[in-house]
Amino acid sequence: MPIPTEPIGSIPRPPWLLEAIAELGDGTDPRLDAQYERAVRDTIERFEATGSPVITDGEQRKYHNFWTYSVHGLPNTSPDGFRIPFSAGHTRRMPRLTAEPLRYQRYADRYLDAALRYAHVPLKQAVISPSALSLMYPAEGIAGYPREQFIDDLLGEHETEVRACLAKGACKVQIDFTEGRLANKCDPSGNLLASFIDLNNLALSRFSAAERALIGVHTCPGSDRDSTHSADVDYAELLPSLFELDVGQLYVALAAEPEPDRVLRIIREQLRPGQTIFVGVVAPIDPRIETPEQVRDRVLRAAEYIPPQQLGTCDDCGFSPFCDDVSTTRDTAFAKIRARVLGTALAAQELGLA
Amino acid sequence: MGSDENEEELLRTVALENARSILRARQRAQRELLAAKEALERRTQELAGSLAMLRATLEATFDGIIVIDRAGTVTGFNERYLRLWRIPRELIDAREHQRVLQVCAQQFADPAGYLARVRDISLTSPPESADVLELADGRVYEQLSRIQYVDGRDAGRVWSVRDITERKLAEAQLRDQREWFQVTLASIGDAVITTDTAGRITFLNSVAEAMTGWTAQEAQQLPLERIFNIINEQTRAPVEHPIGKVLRGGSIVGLANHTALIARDGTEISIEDSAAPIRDSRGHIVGAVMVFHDVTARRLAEAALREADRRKDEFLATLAHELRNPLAPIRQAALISKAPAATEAQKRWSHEVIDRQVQHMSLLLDDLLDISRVTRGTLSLRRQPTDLGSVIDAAVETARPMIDARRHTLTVRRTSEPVRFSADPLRVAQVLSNLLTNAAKYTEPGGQIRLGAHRSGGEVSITVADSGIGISAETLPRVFDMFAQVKPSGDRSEGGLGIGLALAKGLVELHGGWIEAHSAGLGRGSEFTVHFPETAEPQPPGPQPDAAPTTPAAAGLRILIAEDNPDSAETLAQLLRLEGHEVMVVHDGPAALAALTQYLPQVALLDIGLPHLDGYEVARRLRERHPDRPIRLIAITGWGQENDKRRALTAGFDHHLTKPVDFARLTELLRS
Repeated sequence: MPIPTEPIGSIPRPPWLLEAIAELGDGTDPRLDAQYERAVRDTIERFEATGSPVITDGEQRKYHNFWTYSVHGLPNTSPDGFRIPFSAGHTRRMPRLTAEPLRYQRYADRYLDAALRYAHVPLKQAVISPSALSLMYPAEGIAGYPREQFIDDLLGEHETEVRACLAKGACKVQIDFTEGRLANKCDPSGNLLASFIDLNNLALSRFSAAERALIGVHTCPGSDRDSTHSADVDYAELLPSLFELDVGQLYVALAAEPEPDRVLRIIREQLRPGQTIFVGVVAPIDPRIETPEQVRDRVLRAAEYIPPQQLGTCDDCGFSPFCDDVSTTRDTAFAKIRARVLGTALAAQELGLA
Repeated sequence: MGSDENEEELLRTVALENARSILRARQRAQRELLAAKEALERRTQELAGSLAMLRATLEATFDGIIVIDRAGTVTGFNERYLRLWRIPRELIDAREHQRVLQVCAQQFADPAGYLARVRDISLTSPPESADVLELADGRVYEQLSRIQYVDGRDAGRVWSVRDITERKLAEAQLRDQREWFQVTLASIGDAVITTDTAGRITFLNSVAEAMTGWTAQEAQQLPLERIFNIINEQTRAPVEHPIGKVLRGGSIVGLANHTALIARDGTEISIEDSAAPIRDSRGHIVGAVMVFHDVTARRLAEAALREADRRKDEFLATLAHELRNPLAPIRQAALISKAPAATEAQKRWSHEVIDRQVQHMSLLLDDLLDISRVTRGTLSLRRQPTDLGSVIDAAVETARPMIDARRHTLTVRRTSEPVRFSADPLRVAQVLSNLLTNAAKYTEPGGQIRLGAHRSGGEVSITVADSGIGISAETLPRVFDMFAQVKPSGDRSEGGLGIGLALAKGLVELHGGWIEAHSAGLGRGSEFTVHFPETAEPQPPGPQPDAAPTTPAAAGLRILIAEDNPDSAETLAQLLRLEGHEVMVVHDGPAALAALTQYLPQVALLDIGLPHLDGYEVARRLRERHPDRPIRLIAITGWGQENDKRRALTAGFDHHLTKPVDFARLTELLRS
């Protein structure tokens, strides 16, 4: 049995698409539909060309980013939410909820409509975690809309989105939980992280075991313009909590970690039966394209800690979580993906699994 | 938002606020989860209880049950199903319906037919199915199936099977009994009607249909009185039907006498009936049955019997009268004959009177014996080519004395040419003389009597017509009946027993012919015609006619007469002595037996009804003791039937003579 390998999600948008979006000033403008369709088709063709057994639509239509796509354009939000600082010195600011209720503007399953028209291999779909969106509720609260009600609404919207993706045909739904390390960065006491884990587990508890086997959680220190927002936070503080999430798959950024063996040891200690750990073997923030051999070696190293039957590979992160991130080209992204696919196959061969 | 530091602090604050809310949400979720878990445990327990109950119910049912999902997998069954179909445990554990069906199918004479039926049901998926299955070994199962709906979705099929072998046998027996009962009721000779407890008709058999004029279909549920309308035959008053009494009283009820049913068309039928309650197994009355039959014919027969009895009484009186009548002249003639002063002429006259009266009595007795033989079929004809003219002559000669005595004019018209036909000439002459004598008897003196004969169509017909008293239309149909006698004025002055015409009819029919009577009415004369077939099949040999020609008397025999009637014995003895024989007379059996051994007669004339030892026994003992003695034993008795003669011959007699003894016949025997 080969080692499974999957992408995380985003692929840099083509320049002509970004120009069109810039020209219209809003990435959700219906006049962009044709360009989006073209971008999705091209992305899937190139994705399938890498040999990746599971692909995504490259999140070509997620606007403006992996975090806010579902609430972008809501009338009861303002753009002055919390600021997410990145190591490259720039920040990203979240929207703020200004009035009740919280309702998603769109669910990610709509992205599958176009992708399924072109895909020949299984498609996975990434959605934002409830914990990430929980930060939309303002500190001062909203009159007549208590925080508890907001949390309930949030969980309901998340459940709806995940079920819609599974129903539409996604082979897997991946919950992006990049704020895990950020939580520890904000609250070194760990309380915030624990509450995030709780919230996400509450969301996961709404699904059956069979459904949870198709749901995974991705965590990384963020990736935007070749920089992170929380790579400085020790993985050791995050991973034990991460394994408390009741899901079948965990996607863990590892390629860019300075001490991968240390992380792998923690994973080995926390790994539970029935879980598959997809470790990142290519680093989107690294402009250098890994060779298959490099990837192979990373897989083999991970296999020293993780039983091969519970081991999978992935990208560390999306290649362009924010739509306007042009720090990595599409060519580079697909080259790295190809390296991941080939390197994983080499490792499997090496491990006698192919 | 303020500085970076403030913003981070605010983010932390928000995050922590969120954390508290999330914590509360988690706690609430945990509580809900706990409650849900407890509810689930309770539900699980309830479910386990329900499942156990369901299982127990499944096992308690009389049906074998198996549940098959749409993929053909066995999802449930009970033990009875396994037992009924004799399915091994390891087979059912495989949960494959097809393998189970194979075992079931092998128990049929036509396994493929059973499998095809199940396959058809599975493919067409009707909401329900019901089949009666007859297995090869005689078991009969009822197989039912229904779609199993789970949450409104077709999840498969539930099959149940029940052993109805005993029920089927019982049904068959009941059906046979019912059929037997129906056939019995339908074929019974009596009419049968059943009603419910309200007296409404539930059944009519064909006899009841015919008698009432209503069909069973028409009569269904009609009140009984609508079709069963009965009256008292004598009072004509309506009679309550017996079923009403049965339903009220609960006991068997017979119908009163003289009940008549008024049929639908108004026909009146004399009936007899009875009715009884119909009770169920608990003894409750659930209806009533009435059986009745047409007794019209019996009533008529009873009336006829009464009439026949009356005529018999009348006949006996007539017979007594007719037998007594000759006694007076005989007695008086006897007195004259033995009177010392009687002249030879007077003695001869008195002898003639006695002889004539004895002849008359003999004729009466001959008629009686003949009618008895005809009635019992023991009289046989001595057929021979017979000349019609000769028998007419004989008949006229016989009747002539009476015709002449009453000064009638007899006209005889014969056929133009001689006619010969197959007949017993004595019997044909007897018939014709009867008719002529009747004509003479029932015609006022000086009347006209015509006898005419003709031949046509292979038939010989002789008609005797008179100008006499005639026959009424009412009497005419019965004129040939036994003991019928035309009585013009209520007395019996013309004499006769009233059996002459009955005897004539019997003799004619013995010849294969027929007789008819016509009369225009009282006072307008009568006409009788007999028809004989010209040729007839020869009759089987039968008893010899008693009549025989006289022969010269024998002489010089030693004769013993044993007769308890002294006069009869002595007169016979005197006659025989006049013939030159030596005669000894005894009056009882032992004396006869003694005389046979001492007197050593050559001929013994023994009365059968001797005192102390009857004639049969005397003959038997003599033949036993002296088997070689050359003595001729002649029985003389009033019993003249064939079996009497056979009995006499068996006892040892050589001959049998009927009283009064035909002396000519006796003389012939003595000479032979």
